[in-house]
Amino acid sequence: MNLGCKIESIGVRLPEKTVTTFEIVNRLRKSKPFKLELITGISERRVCSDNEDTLSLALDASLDCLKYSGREGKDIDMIISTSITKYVNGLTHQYEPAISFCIKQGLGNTRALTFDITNACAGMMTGVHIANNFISRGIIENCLVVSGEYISQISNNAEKSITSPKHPEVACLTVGDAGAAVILSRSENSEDRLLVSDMYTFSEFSALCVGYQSRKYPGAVMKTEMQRIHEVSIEYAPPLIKEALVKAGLRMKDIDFLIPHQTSITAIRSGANHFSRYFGETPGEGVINLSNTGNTASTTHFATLYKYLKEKRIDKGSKIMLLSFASGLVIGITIFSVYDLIQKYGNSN
Amino acid sequence: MGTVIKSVSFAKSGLSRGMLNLSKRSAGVCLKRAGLDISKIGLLINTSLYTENHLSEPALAAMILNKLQAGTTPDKIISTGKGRVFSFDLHNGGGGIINAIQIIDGFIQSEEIENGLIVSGDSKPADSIEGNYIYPDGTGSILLSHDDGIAGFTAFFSATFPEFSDDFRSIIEWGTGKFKFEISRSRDYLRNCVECAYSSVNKFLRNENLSYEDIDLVFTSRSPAELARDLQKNSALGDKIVINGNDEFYSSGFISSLTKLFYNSKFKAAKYILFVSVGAGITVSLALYKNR
Repeated sequence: MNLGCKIESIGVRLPEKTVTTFEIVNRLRKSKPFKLELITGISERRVCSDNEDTLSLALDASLDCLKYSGREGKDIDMIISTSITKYVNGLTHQYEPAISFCIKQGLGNTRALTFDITNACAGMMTGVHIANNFISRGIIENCLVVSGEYISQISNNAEKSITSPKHPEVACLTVGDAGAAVILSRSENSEDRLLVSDMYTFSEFSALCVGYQSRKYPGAVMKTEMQRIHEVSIEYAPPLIKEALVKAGLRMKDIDFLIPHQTSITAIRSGANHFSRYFGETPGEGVINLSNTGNTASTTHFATLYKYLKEKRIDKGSKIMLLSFASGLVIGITIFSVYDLIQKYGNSN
Repeated sequence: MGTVIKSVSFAKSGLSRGMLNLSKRSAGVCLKRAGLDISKIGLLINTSLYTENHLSEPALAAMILNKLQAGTTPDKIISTGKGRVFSFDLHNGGGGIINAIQIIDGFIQSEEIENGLIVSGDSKPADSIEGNYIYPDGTGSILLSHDDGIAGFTAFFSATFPEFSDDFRSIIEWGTGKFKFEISRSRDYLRNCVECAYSSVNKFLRNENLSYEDIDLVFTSRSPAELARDLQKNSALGDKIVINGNDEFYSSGFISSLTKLFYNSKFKAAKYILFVSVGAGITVSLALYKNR
């Protein structure tokens, strides 16, 4: 049995509180301020207040997603929580119960299969990959994939350690908090569905970005070989993208919106130039959504897609590619077309 | 077509210490027993709950793959069709293994992969922590493979019992200069786990048109540690339930028990084998395995 699986709705929760890049670089304890905003394109990011955490962001995003879906929480068949962080009540890491179970409870659901997965910044795309398999085989009718990412604590810790713009913790200064959720469901329409979902791990590069609990402060530390991980990502991705496009029966120029992982404007533009040379053509738009939210880790693709839907920038029948680069090294490619989705966000085109 | 258990392995802390080294050992032995190279694995899922240094990224699964020397390039994958692998971590308390089996079974059924590997274990999250962390280091591995016969996993079931959601909680937080680990467990947790597991098994067997007599062996998770013993005392499944011994292995407890029996005649003689995992929530997951 191979049924279709479509994106039914997307929901997002951004914390109210903002922190500017100017504030962050001026708080560095061991380094002079540097031009982080110019390099990254990030002016500000949202950060959790005292009453917000992984679970609250995930739950609020789920409720927003349900609102656009028209479903009730009790109707969800499977819930996959996909955040890197699992913080509740501040920076308390919860091992058990699973965050997905707490979301299930919060939604008043009594029947969903629940589990948490983590796959660094590829978490939500990994969840979509799993959901697509369950729905396409007819095991479930729908699935909520959700992530509440309270990741800004790594930026707070990095501010105390960074000694220069090339320090391994500089990437931590780009992150912001966000919750995002997506409901996937069975599709009767042969065009309105996921066309490709491919995920790969190239584990020989697993040490290029590593995050672990700080031994000095609450929260985590993340060390990244930024240049190397970027080089490997843009070298390895094109043949995999090409294969995904062939599977979908498309060319790069047929893609209306390519949404890459939102890291920095310099990295995204460098990647876009490389892809342009490789394919000899470009997608309709390479989407950049960094200025006000920064890098929101596993939520980045769906938070960006949500913004574009709300701004009515996406037309019916548009082909969208989500491209994930994550610690591991994980490369993920999801291609889909949108039909009913856009109307839920007020776009009739 | 089915998804069969090809091999299992378990590694206790000895000369090798820590999750990564133990994972390399148990997964390496598991692959060797099946005569399979790591390049044949299409999906690796790590279901370990407690890991050293409280690693948050990348997924530990990617680091385990690296330890097993998985490695190729996109061009080789596309030109040869070989070496494509994907990995992630899955957390569902002490009961994530059945979720991982169900996911791997799904990708095998849809013919996206031929073999999947599950690695599960625990390691002390930090060198110096306060609190009641008790689990010894240990890691187990299960290799699942496509099989053209009638054997394999035939059904899965999951149920949650939110009325007992406060019964068990496991957290770690930053204290004053030290990590504080805390497991809070209600006095009735074990009893509730047994009741939830038993009622879920009853419902599942009814759904599958099976009776207790049809089940030959039952493996349970080690969450809580006394689950197998109390389920044996309080259910009609009786001595079909495998008692795990006195070890306190948590995430890998399941595989520890399975490894002890998998290669002997008792497992081979069993027709229907039931896997039962219970975790905080209370969440019960079940899987039915039909032997050759």
